[in-house]
Amino acid sequence: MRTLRRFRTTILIGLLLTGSVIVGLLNQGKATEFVTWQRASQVAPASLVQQIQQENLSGNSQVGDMKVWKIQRPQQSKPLYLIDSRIKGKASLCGALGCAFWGYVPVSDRFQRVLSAYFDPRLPPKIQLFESQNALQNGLPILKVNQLEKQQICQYQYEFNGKGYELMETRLLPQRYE
Amino acid sequence: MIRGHPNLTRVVKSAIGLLIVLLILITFPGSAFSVGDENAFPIASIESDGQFAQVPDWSEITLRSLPPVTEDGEFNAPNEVKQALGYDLSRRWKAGQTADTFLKLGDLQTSLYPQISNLDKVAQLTQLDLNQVALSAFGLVENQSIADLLSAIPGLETYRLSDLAPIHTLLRAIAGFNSDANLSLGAIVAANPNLGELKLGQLDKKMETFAIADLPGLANTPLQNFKNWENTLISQVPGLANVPLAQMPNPIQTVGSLGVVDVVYGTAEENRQDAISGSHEAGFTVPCRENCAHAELTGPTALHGKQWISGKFQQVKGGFGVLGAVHGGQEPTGRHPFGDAFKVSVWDVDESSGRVSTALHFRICKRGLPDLGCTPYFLGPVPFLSYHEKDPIFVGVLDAQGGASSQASIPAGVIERAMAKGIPAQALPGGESVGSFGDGTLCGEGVGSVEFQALASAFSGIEGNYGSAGSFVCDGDGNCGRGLGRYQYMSYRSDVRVAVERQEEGAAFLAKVDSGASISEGEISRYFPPAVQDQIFKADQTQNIQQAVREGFRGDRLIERVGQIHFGGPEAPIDGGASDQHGRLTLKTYGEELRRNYQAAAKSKSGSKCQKAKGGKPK
Repeated sequence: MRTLRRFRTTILIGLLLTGSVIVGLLNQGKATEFVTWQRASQVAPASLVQQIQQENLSGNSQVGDMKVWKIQRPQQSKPLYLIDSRIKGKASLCGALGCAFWGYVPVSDRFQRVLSAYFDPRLPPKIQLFESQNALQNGLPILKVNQLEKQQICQYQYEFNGKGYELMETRLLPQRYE
Repeated sequence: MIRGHPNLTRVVKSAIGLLIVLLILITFPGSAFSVGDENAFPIASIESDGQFAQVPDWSEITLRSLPPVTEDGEFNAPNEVKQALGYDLSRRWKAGQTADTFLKLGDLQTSLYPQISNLDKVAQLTQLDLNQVALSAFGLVENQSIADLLSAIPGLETYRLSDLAPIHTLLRAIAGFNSDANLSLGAIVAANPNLGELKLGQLDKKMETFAIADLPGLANTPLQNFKNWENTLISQVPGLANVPLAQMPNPIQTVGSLGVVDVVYGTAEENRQDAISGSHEAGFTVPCRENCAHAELTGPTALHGKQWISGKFQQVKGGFGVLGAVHGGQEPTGRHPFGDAFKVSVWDVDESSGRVSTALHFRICKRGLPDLGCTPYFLGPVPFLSYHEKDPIFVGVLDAQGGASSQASIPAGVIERAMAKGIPAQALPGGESVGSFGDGTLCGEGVGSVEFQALASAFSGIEGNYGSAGSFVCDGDGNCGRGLGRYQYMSYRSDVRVAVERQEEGAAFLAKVDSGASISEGEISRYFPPAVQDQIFKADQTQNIQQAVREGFRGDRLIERVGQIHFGGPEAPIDGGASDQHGRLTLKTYGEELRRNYQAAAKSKSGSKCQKAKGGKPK
């Protein structure tokens, strides 16, 4: 009787553990947090704001008014700061290619630019520009960027290669947007 | 040796210093009076056909930083003018005053267009904290009644009285009106229309206790929304006098030709027939009979041997409309190398030293309704740059407008907004074509001699269908709509909306687009015709070209930079390394690609529509 109970308990624990592993595996690679943009002056260190200004801007735009998404995944040792150059009502870093976005990570006493690209934020309603994954590549999260190509969404997957983000994969989604 | 004799030391040092100065003067005779030295003008260098010249740096010069006027003057508006306007256009100025203290918004309304700006923009440009600026410093609001403010400031009627401190005080302390402060201003005035007549100026000294930021919406309302905005001195709009002239809504630029001051002649000269000076009314080739002090130019063929006659000694017909008769209908001869805000005249000439000075004159205008025209340019002289023989001199575009056509293109939407305020089309730069929206083609050259047809062909991805509609999208910044036509201009752009609304039933079409409903090619062609699309493209690209020219780009590099601005936005860094989403091309390489495509398109234009339409040699 005791042996049977022990056997049942072992099976139950085994099932629970297996389930957890399966759920964990299924979740891996899916976004686990909402994309939350905040004013750069609220979330980015002052030295980063200053560095962005020096490295990327020639005009009057104030980095402090731009939006920043600070991404910090559980296994990630240092945060990724993703900067959207648009300021409400002013799109002076937006052109035919889209708008400027930059990514920075802290390295010793400075920040390293790991992304500098133009993405078009004009997307069908309810489609987000960025999707962040839990999965990391070389210590930084994998980024998926949705872009409208003709009438379909093309999903670009960027991965950190140790120096900067690099386009690794593109996927054309079947749904058409009229 | 001289350590023990301090006086001797000073004498020797002074002598050495004097010798050095003399040596410099002998070696570089021009340096004593090089361009702009006397007035300490901020100077920028420009290059044209391998020739370098120093020109005013308009990104540093403001109406307040220009040198003060050197002579007293006045203008007394006739009574009938005062009656027609409801205010006094008269002006009096003293030597020593700067331009911002005697020029009004209306004087610059068809040149720099300050009226389409607002206090927020001005504050951004001048680092002004509007929380620290008293309401009384904004001269324009003093004469605004509550009804005027309700009409000028969008949404003001929805604010609760308690949120409108200056108006609350005006009603309570001045008019003795005690109401529920939680009611909206719109509701209060609707119930008590006589309160709408109260003017903010009635607050008197109390106005000083409020900041501009205390009246919500005031700072981001275009100046032209306010009643009698034309009659406001530039100095009475906080910060406006300190806005660089290159950052005005229609900025001053340096686009045109360079000549060289060859020889300077005094007043003994007579019968000069080959002038490049004059006025809008008399043309810019007005000969001179006597007292023909002038600078004879050399340089490009078109300038070789030309005379820029001194306006100090030659007056020409100027001004137009009712105000054209002021000052005897005369103004100093000169040119408009920097547009119509002011006129540049050769002024003092000194044959013995080979030196010539220039001076600026401003004018008084009253356009719109009623349109009284403009006085001659006679508010001056304001000392400007000086030159020596052999110095390069900037003369602007060699056109029939004395160089003023370099200002022909103005920011998108300006013409529409100005016309909506009653400024006649002919008063606007390029206004003749405003009503018809051009000829429906891209033929012709813009600033920097850029051919629009070739430029349009060079932009990859824009060739094709004037009737195409993009998917319904939102930009994440509150704007939703569709790309329309050949250039896929978004339907939420203000200039696109103005253009569409002009078409019969255009507003209904826009509502349909805004709803996300499907639209057909036929609808786009009808409500957003190809000619209108091309017109907006030209206006857009002209802005880009003007920016690139201001940044000092010419020739091939100009096209590359225009491409960078087009693809990356106006503040895109020069030769920036940001990539597209594919990670392959950068802004710099996009610019280079555009330049190659442009060159190819320009070469093959012999078969183009422009060429066929003209039936002659390509322009």
